Amino acid sequence: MNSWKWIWRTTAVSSAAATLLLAVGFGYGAKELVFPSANRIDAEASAKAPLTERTPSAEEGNYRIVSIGDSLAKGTGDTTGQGFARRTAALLDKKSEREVRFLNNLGINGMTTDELLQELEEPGIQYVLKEANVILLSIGANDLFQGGAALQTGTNNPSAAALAQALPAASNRLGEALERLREINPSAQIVYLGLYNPFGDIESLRQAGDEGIAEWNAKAAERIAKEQNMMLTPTFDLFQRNTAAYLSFDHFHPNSAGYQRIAERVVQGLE
Amino acid sequence: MKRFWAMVQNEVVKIVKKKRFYIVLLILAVMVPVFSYAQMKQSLERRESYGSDWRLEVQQAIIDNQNSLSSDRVPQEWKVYRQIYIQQMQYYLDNDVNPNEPGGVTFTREFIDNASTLFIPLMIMTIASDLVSSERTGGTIKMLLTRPIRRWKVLLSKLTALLMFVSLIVASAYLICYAIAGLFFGYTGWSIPIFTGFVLNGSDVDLSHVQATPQWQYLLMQAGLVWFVGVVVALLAFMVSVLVRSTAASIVVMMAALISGSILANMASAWTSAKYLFMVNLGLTQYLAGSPAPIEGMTLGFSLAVLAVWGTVSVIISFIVFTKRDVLT
Repeated sequence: MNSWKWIWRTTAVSSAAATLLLAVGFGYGAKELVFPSANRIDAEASAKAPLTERTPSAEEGNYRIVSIGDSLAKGTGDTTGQGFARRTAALLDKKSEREVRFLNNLGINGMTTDELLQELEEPGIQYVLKEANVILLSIGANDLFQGGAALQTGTNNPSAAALAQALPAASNRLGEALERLREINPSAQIVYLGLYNPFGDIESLRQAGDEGIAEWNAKAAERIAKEQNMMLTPTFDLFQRNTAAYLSFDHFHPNSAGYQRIAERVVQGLE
Repeated sequence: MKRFWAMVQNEVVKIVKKKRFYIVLLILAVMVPVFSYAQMKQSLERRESYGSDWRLEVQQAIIDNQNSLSSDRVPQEWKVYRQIYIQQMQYYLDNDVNPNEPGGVTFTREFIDNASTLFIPLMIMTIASDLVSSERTGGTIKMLLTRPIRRWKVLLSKLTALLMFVSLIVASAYLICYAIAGLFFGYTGWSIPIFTGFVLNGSDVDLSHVQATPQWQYLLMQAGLVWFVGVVVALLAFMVSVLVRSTAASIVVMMAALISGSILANMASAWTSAKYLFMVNLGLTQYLAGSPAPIEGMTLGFSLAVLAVWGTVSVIISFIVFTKRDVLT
């Protein structure tokens, strides 16, 4: 009989306490959700967020790699999902004594120079870029070819006229992006991946594509030559002769073998 | 009144003596270490690929979700989820706050978030489902009803005892979870800011009401919402227990309802009138976290109203049936 009393008392007391607490929590939660109180956080907090004011990481003695830009930076078309960026990190790791860390792959499919410029203003992106000391950049192909969509749909083939029209403005934006990257991280090695012509084996498109890309790459090289710690890794010749062997099924992005060849070049440049 | 509390006391002692509550505690004590261990493995693996820097990890999550937005194979409603997720993660990152700061408190919050729609209701059913039906199966109901006490009072005493245990189950889920997770992740994290008040307009997130809530306040609100869900589930299970003769059948009925709820929530976004079912409204804590509701048009107020209506109706049915029915056995 006594143990019953004891059971009852402890249960009743603890249950009453728990119920009270939970009911208070419920009332508070429901109130906050149904009538949310106004924002007490500084609306401009993100503008002066601690992330954007950081100084770049000064850690020495290792490679901290970040890739940013379009689908090539991301690695689209690589069946292993590594892309040239991760392959670069893997190759470097094999060849060099230094520790290699692959921080982030910030590549986004279909990114254009315009979108890259916006992306570079994100605090999170800036934070990652400041952490790195090797920045791999691939951008521009979508400005010139609209992601290869033109080829697949058959409409609106990339013509010499369209390329010539898109090129000057896009090339300027590439210059701006490189400048912005330099501002964000003044000391990192920036590797820009030159464009190649994915339409090299299509007779009707080859000529126009080759000329446009040659001009783009020349302008990029001219821009990059002015800067310290910046280089252009050419890829044009890699896909010139045996296009089918190094491009993936979409006939626009490299395949695994193609990415491997790009990575080898990048590593040679970095060593 | 005094006699009524004596009856409640009787019911409470019966529940304790049946050892159902100990089973609930035991299940929690066994399951939480399993989940904690899994979580610890996961965070170790993450640490391997991102180092100790959560910002890199969050930024990568944002990029990965952005990439999936451009894929045509991803269904439209998933894209909405991901757009919302991206904006929330962006907000955390912009304010330099780690959304997943590891710690015992964070683990508890996440565990309860996941447990609130199925696991905790299941624990409550363990007690609720046989409250009346077991008296019928065992034949003790006749003893109970031959006393000079109104039938509704008998039922009310049982209901009161049940609600007492609902509070105890929710509270002990938190305590056990925190005590065990603390062993793995440390007992810290009470004051970590959690952002609440994301107002969703379609795929856009309105940030004007967002505020940083310390995690203990968040836990308090979360516990309150889980408790409300628990009470409604208890009332429903109680009704089923009155209606159905055998305990096994009553457990199966409630289980089926709960499980169908979690299935429906995953795929019913096209069938909008499913939002009036109680099972899809159990995820109240989602509103707190700012994740989108499974079906368009659901808000916290709506869900609370739906649950309240289901709860009230089931109480009314329980009492009418119990007082009117002939007890033959």
